[in-house]
Order: sequence, then structure tokens, then C-alpha cells
Amino acid sequence: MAQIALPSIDYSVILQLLIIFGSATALLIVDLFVAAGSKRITALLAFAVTIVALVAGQYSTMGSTLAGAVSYGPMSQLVNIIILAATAISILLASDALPKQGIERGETYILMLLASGGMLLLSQGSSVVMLFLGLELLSIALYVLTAIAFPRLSSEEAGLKYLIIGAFGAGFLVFGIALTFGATGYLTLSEIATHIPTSGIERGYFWVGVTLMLIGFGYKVSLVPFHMWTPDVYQGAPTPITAFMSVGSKVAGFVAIVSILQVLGTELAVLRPILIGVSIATMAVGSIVAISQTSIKRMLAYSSISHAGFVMLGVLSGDANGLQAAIFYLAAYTITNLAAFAVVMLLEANDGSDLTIADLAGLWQRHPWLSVVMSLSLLSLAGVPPTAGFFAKFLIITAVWQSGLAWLAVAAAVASAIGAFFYVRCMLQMYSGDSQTSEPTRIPLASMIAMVVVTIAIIVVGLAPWTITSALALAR
Amino acid sequence: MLPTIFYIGLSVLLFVIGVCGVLLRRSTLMVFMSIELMLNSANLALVTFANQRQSIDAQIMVFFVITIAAAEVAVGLALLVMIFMRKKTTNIDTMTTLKG
Repeated sequence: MAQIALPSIDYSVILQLLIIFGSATALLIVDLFVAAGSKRITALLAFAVTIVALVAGQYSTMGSTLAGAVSYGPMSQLVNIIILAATAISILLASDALPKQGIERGETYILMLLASGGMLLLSQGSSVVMLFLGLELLSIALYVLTAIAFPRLSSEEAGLKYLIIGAFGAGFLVFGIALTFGATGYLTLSEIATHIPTSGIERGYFWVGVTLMLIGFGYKVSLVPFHMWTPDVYQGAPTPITAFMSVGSKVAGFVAIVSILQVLGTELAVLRPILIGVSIATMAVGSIVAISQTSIKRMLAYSSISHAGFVMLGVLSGDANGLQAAIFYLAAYTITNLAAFAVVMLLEANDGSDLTIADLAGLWQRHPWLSVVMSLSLLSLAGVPPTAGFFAKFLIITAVWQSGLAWLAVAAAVASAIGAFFYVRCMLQMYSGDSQTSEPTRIPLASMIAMVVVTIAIIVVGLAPWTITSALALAR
Repeated sequence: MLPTIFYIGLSVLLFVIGVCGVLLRRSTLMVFMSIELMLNSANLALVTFANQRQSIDAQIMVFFVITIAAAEVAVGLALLVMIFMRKKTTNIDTMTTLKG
């Protein structure tokens, strides 16, 4: 049996990972000395760490290290920016909302850092071992975060449901990794790509293995038929945590799916019909079931399922256009969803009880600004022109059309039209109807900053999409 | 030593038993054990392939899987204990707070 050879490590490639994991560990100790009533200090420190990591991304060297297990390239640079920005904004939101609901726990922010470290590992991992580790780091931190509102029963149950489904998906992923290793004899993605077996039982192992790995990640990004956990978990988790996981784990999960699909190269054609079926089912189920929801968080959960279908459309085309469109879509979806959840979070009662669509009635009279932000994000989710969501859908549908699947582009357009129905219904509720309560909601400073940033981002990306598309072009 | 295919056959069998256990058992503890079975069947496959190919990579992977599985179950049992103290049951069908 071969000797274990220790690979050389280029620390500047994994700079962002080092910063996040190192400071998260240090913060665990620092948090012990922070008084119980002032956990906002931990939150601010965690926020500072994400900003430092965001800046450090500019100084990391592109390349691959740890024997090809971790790499840093133009695409992971862009994805890391999305992930870290989403983490920073979620930490700001959580630092206001959680103490308001009586959840004064410093470890929340540390767990958010660890989860974002897992997401970075998914975006930078170029070996299936790293993809597995990244997924599990992200997931285990999120299981705890989902249940962080204990002793609230809905939060505990959501955490347990998420854990069972997540671990079930991880089982598929690990077995897929085992079979892929059996077929090729390698664990790094680039080596697997050059050793795809062409015949014999190894080819069987390989296809079953790849399919199982995709199922494992399919659970994470909630593709139909692996989506049933999403509404329950999104509803049960505290709202800032829902915002964080709805964007972060989706971005990271899709990047991992892209890495696996890129391994297949031209053999992707074998899986394409199945992937097309999955994305149509995901868009349809998400859009149609969302119509009958009364809880806003559940509606946003189903809407996030339908958005996963759109991203999958960009991913499965397998060419550069589709990939760029998918990354743009993820960026637009991230800022939009954060804005929507920020408004939901501010309107929620202090006991964390669920906000229904009927509760939005008369929001225009109570809080003109909140209703403007909510309208913008709903329009962006629906894909209406002056917002980021429009260009995201536009790029995806164009990419699908160009790859010769005109009927699929039409199907996507129909699905987005169905989706627009319930977003518009939500908006009508805000501008018509009478307000149920008259008590004013005070908007705390941190949430205000976070909300202003994402709102400006929605408009800027919507009016000047080349701010992101030019970065994407560089990323090729 | 038996041919590799026998070990893979056994691990596939264990994996299927694990999947059925997660889908069919109603006790959360049994579901956790079934998930362990899924992960360990993958470990068996990894070790078998590592032996067949005389490679050390897959054996390292097994250690990662064991560690992660332990962390996952630790979180899971902590959550289950909290829910059990309130509800006095581990039956998965009673977790109906979230419905829509």
C-alpha cells in the first residue's frame, strides 16, 4: 500500500477559508468573555471577519493546492463574494432580530461563520472529499442554527426534520463518492474527468455514482422530488437564519453541482434529458404550490424551489453562456431574497409567530418604505423589468434558447408567468386592504443598513446588469 | 480473498436496507440508525475499492465520513432529547407543528 505523502500547501490560495475558520474558532473563545446581554459584540466581530475575508479574496492567488483538493479561480472568486456578502448581511439582520425575539446567543454568529466557511469550501473544492466536507460543515451548522430558537417547538422540529433529510441526502452523496472512486480510482475532480471508464462494470459504477452524488446535492438545493423539507424548515427556522440558508446553501450547492457536471464533459448529454425533466418539475411544483400558501415564509420557500429550477436550466445547458446566466441568477436571487426576508423579519411579532400574507394588508399606510422594499423584491422575484430578477430570467431563457431547446425556453417563460401571479397577489395585499394593527415597527440601525444595501443592489443590478456580467465575462 | 463484487454487493444491500429504514421506520432513533447504516455501507465500499486499487485516498475519506457521522448524530440526539422532554415520544409522525 502506498505511503501517505503530505502535499505542499499554498496558503494564499486558501486565504479566505483560513480567515473564516480561524476566526470562527477564536470567536468561540472570545464569546465566553462577552456578557450575556451584549452579544451584539460577537455579531459585530463576526461581521468584521466576513468583511476581512471579502477583501482578502482580492489578494488570494489563483491556483490549486493541497494536491489538487482545493483551488481558487475566477469563478470561485465571484461565488465567494456572493457567499460572504450574503453572510455579512444575514449577520446584520440576525443581530437585530434574534435579541428582539429573546434569542440572545453568541454562538449563532459563530455558527453562521462556520456555515459560510463550508459554503466557501464547496465553491473552492476540486475534490469530492472537499465537496463532502464543505456540504457537511455547512449542513451541520445550519441544523443547529435552524433549532437555535429553542425552546420554541416549531424551531426544534424544523431542525430535526432538516437534519434527518440532510443526513439522508449525505448518505446518497457518500455512497456516490464511493462508487465514483471505485469506477475511476481517483477523488480529485480533474483526475476523475480524465479517467471516465468507457465499458464494463466500472461504467455502471460511474453512472450510478454520479447520479447518487447529484441526488445528494439535489436535496441541498431543493430540486423536485427532493424538496419536501424546504417549506417546513424555512417556516420553522428564525427568519434571519431562513434568509441565510435560502441563499447561501443554494448558491454553494449549485456551484458543487456545476463542478460535478463539468467532470462529465461531453458525456453530460446522457444525463441531460433527466436534468431537463427535473428542472421543469422543480419550476412547476414551486410555482403552482406557492399559490395556495397563506404563510409568507412558506410562500417564499416554494418560490425558492421554483428559482432552483431556473438555475438548473442554466446549469444543464453545460456551455459557458448557461453557466454565466446561472451565476448571475444566483447573485440576483441572493440580494432579492435577502431583501424580502428582511422585511418579513421586521414585520414579525416578537414571539416569532408566523407572518401570513393577510398580515401585509395596509402595509403601504403603515410603512411606506418597507412596502416599497417588499414590492421591489417581489417584482424582482417575479422577473419584472427594472429589477435584478428580470435580467436573471432573461439571461437564463436566452441561454436555453441558444442551446437549441426553444420549447424549454417557452416552458420556463410560462413557469415564470405562473410565479408572477402570487407575487402580484402579495403586492396587491400591501396596497389595498386595511391595516390590522396600528402599532409602528421601529427599524433598527443594522437592519436598516442591510436593507438599504440590498435594495440599492437590486436596482443597480437591474438598471446596469453589466456590473455583474462583465465580472462574469472575466471569470471565463 | 473474495472478489470485490461480493463486498460491493453487500454494501449495496446495506445501503438499500438503510434507505428503507429511513423511509419506513417511525421512531426517530431507528431513523438515525438507518442513516448510520447508509454511511457505513458507503465506508465498506470505499475500503473495498481502496484495497482493490491499493490506494490510500479512499481510506482517508472513510475517516472523514466516520467523524462527520459522529458530529451529525451528536446534533441530532441533542435535538431529539429536547423534543422528547416536551412530547415524551420519539415518533416522527407526531412532529406536526409545521403544516401548510
